[in-house]
Amino acid sequence: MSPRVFLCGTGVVSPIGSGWDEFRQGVMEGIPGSADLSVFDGSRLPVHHAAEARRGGKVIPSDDATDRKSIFLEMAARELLSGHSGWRKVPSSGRWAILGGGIEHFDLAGYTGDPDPDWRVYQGRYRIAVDRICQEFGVLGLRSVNVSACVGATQALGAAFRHVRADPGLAVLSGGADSMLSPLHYMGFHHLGALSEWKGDPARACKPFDADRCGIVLGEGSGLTVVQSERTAEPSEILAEIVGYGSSLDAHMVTDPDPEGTQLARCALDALEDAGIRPEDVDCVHLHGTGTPKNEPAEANAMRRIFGARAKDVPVYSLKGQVGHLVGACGAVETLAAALCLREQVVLPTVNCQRPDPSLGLRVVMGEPLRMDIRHVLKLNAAFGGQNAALLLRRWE
Amino acid sequence: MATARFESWQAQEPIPLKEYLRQRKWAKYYDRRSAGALVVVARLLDGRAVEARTPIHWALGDLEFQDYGLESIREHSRDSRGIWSAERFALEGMHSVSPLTQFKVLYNMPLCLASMELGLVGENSVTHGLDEGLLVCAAASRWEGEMILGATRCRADGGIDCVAALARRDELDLSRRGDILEILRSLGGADPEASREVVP
Repeated sequence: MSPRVFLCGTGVVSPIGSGWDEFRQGVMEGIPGSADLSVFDGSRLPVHHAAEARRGGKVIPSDDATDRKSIFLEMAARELLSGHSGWRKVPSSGRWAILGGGIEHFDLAGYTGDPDPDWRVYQGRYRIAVDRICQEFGVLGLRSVNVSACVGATQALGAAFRHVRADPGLAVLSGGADSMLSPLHYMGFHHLGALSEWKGDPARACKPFDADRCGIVLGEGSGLTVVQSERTAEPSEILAEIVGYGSSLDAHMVTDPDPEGTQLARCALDALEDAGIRPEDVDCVHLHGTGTPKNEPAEANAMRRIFGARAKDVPVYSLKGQVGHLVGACGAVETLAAALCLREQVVLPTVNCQRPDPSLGLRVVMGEPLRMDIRHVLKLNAAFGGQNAALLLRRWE
Repeated sequence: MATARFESWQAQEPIPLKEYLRQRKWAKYYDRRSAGALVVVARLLDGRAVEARTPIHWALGDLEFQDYGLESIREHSRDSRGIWSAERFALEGMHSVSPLTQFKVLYNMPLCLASMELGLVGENSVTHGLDEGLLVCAAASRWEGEMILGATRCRADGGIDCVAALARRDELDLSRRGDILEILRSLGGADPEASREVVP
């Protein structure tokens, strides 16, 4: 019989607060994380909504040259690992780091103002931050930085789970960090036509599952946890059990997800098979839910492929209405939110979904949180380019 | 028994992408990293069919950022004093490069474009860094058969090296550290000179 594997402890930096207590309160109370862009001057951009990482209600400051995701990774790691009892039980050689990340930061302002620039000088180095935390917290085992766009952190957590299940003596620092809130990366998402062009209150710019959804809001942050087995986990630090993982590729189109959701469903079914459970054992689903016109229909079709006629009855949720799209870190922060909802036994209303798109046929929780018996949560993420990933979490009992 | 293929192209040397592209209209999404990845995998497989669910894992070194219009953005985002202007960037700089550039910047495009061309829908990952990180992801697979493992190095001189290997999980040695291109080459005993093709 395979050893049980857990998510143990949390380190989080997010647009609704940093540190577990702030994040927990933000998620449970539906505090909006999206506002006017402030970390760089975006006042002349076509759209300037952003979900910027905050601590104590204030945007975490940085200058143009700073790679924000590296700051967030280090903040989250220190919250997670300082005083982590389960981590200390594992020798340094058994400590690995499997982390998600994003495209390197680029200091466009510095590069532009340099009369004789070498572009390499202005490029960030996320790996340096990863190496720094590995050194600080004694990771002498293997390291991997997954940059599979919006599924990077989800895949990182999945790989960590599989390795710990195979070798229960390991402890793996996992999750991810990302920030695309810089002029160059903002431009890139604008070019992809992905950004919400909502003209009203920026807090309402991202509307997952809503009939009026109109695109993503870029978010930023970091979510980290230690993936370890029952052999080394400290019970008081266990957030949730992780029981299954799957990943797949659409192999469909460069620009769009497969509208049928065929491979997205398949990776979810692989995660269920990995866990040895059936679709009817899943109580709710935390979807990718970007708030774009094309994502949600693909996910709705995937839901029907996974659950059949029950798809319309399974409660679904997306955190992105609240924190925006954290890209390479979204799977990490959303997995922590899924684990929180599992602990609290609640499916929360998706922030900014006020008029669910009836064509989706999904059960989006509205108004009040839905309190129910939740044993298994399915977490799905999908990436531009067609990568999909699924994690299955089980209530710790 | 694992097999591997190594390809290398110099800075100005064409990569014969269109020989391996079923949907030629998609050529516009490819940069040299993605083109190299597709060509090395296609040559590795050499017409041999693999199961659609064959996993594919890819590692990338640092990005050739200088090829993606940075100089143009810089030129169109400076004020009269030659320093950064957020206004000029918004009005001119960000429009000075093609939207297609974004597809070339994304790290996951070599893997995703190869999956679309070859019909691969299985487990996957893209890792940054030419080290053991790729093997960590691949070794987490539950797939019992051969997987496609690849890596791309973009050299500072503009040249590009690509390796692709077919290997089973039990052929991966996680205790081995070093350059992933060398590790993959050694998996299949690929001889770089023997497998290199130059297409003018």
